[in-house]
Amino acid sequence: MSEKLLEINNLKTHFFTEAGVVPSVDDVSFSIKKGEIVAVVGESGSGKSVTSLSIMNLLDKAGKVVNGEILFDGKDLTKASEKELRNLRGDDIAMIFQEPLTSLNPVFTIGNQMMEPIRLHLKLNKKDAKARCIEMLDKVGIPRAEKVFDSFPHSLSGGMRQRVMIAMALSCNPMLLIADEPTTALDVTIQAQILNLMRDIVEDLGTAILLITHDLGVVAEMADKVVVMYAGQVVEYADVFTLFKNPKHPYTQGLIESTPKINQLYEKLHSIPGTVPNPLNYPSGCRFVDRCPFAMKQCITHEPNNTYTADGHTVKCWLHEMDRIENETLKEKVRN
Amino acid sequence: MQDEKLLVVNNLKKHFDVTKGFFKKDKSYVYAVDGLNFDVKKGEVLGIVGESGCGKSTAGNMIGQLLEPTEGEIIFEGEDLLNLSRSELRKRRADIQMIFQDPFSSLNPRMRVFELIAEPLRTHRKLNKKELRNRVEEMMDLVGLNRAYMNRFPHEFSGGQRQRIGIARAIALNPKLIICDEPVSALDVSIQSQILNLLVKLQKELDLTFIFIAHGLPAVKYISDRIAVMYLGKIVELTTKEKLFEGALHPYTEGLLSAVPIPDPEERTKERHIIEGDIPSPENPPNGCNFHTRCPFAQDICRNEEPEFEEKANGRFAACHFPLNTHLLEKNETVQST
Repeated sequence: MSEKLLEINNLKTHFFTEAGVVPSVDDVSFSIKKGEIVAVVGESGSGKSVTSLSIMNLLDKAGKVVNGEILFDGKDLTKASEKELRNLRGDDIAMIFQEPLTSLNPVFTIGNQMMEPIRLHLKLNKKDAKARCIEMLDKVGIPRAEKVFDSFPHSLSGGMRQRVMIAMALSCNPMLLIADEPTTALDVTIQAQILNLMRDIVEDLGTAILLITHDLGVVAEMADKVVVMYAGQVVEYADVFTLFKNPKHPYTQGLIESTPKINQLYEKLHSIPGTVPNPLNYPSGCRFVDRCPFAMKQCITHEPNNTYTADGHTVKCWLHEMDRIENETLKEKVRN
Repeated sequence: MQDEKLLVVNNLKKHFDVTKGFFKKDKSYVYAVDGLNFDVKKGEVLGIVGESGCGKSTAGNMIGQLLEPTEGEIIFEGEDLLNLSRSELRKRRADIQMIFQDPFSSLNPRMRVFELIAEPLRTHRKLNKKELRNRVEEMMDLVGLNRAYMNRFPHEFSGGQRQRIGIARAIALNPKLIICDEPVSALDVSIQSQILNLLVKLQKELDLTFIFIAHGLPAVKYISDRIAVMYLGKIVELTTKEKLFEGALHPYTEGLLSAVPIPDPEERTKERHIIEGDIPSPENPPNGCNFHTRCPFAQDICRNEEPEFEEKANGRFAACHFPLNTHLLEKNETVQST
């Protein structure tokens, strides 16, 4: 098995606001192997984007990693200096965001912006850097790359801008690409084009992708492994086939059932009652307890642990912890 | 099924003037909506889908009397809305209500929930204080809002609850037609299904007629009886949802359907028809068939001659010279003849 490229252990990122401390990311652990696509899925406020920003240390002033480690290629990024991080960003780790128009500078040409990381990290001269840019633009399927090189972001369509972002992110051959909702702002036909492109990239270049999304359709299409987040915590972690076939956490089950499939007809859609709890005042037990159809007494008072099940699942739920404890006592009885 | 037509739209057009230049020499227009023909039957849900810029919201705004059409007729219960006087139109507005996408910007932040829901009632109905309060309470119960929240402000609510306030406002006047413009697009997945279920429940209980505008196909499929697919200001296909998902006639519809990611990794291997290229600018739409620049089956005739939007078979309308899935057409026709 290939080695781990990125390993996040017990990450806690808190925001210190006037209203109090917001535990946006609370004890998150997962890892990504080389050339793998790991999807982090969750609703707004689940902490999925903050997790990705923590990796690159792009949090704003109020946010701080208060615990845990982020090991990239064996190096702990939470302890790295700003200079070391700057060398990593855009070189070994690249990032693309949801809205490509706001991530591109409107007053510089595409070429000007693309050359910057290439000249900085690959130490190429102007002529070679330009050749590299055009090669990358070609690779992501932009027609008339030379013309686009000299044009400004506003003259491109949303899909084209996202292609430019991907070309820019891949120009220095990163080992890890963090894609934060890369297709959310795009139309479905364009989304299908961009997802195809990202899949080709993984095959051709072996880049690992951390895909952050709220769309289970995109997850099912792209991911090898899935991290399901709810209220700042990882509630379930499994490979994509296991997760969709046999979701264990009631939240994951609810999420999958409430996502309508285009190839089915429904009498009534499944929905999860209630809303996400206020992050300033999370329940002391399980954070999903108010919306969970299976909530028990200990769910209100005690936070469940992560349970590892036989099919490679990790679930943070009392239901499965009970199963495990029962199994173990059973086994012990058999042994005795 | 009742086949009474509540709304008939004929040749509806909206061209926005984007003329530039100091002396306005270069006349140019954005052809946002360019000739729509459809009807909405009483008690049905008509879904309108399409990608950004296809004109679906512009069409909704024109029917909702928020935008004046450049050309065409909007016949509501036999009356052309565009020929009404201002006072007549004002009365008619109570019958046509809208629900908007963004529950954050469509509610006045300085008004309390009671005032928000009471506002349309105050404008159109003469109720005394007690009746007004009763009606507001009734509406809050209907959409699943706790009555105790009556004196709160919109910012105290989550997105899903705000959308419930918007829905309560829209149904307060017992309207005959509600235009829902992307009502769930801004909401989280688990909340989307709550709101969709609520809309379906209200539609059945209150016998409402909806025009449901959205870009999310699974949601449109769930709620609609018939679906119109728009591309570049025109309807390219219109049929019942069962027929549409059985097999599309227009290549754009097929591309759109197969582009929607399916939340099941087992379906990943399925072959997809990905539409290449970008949507052309509505300022300068292509000649002939609008879609020919991206269509894999385009022939010479498609580049020169615009296909007619016509009934290809029983209840299946499409605008295409070479419709797909013709076997479905033949099957339907034989069914008809026997």
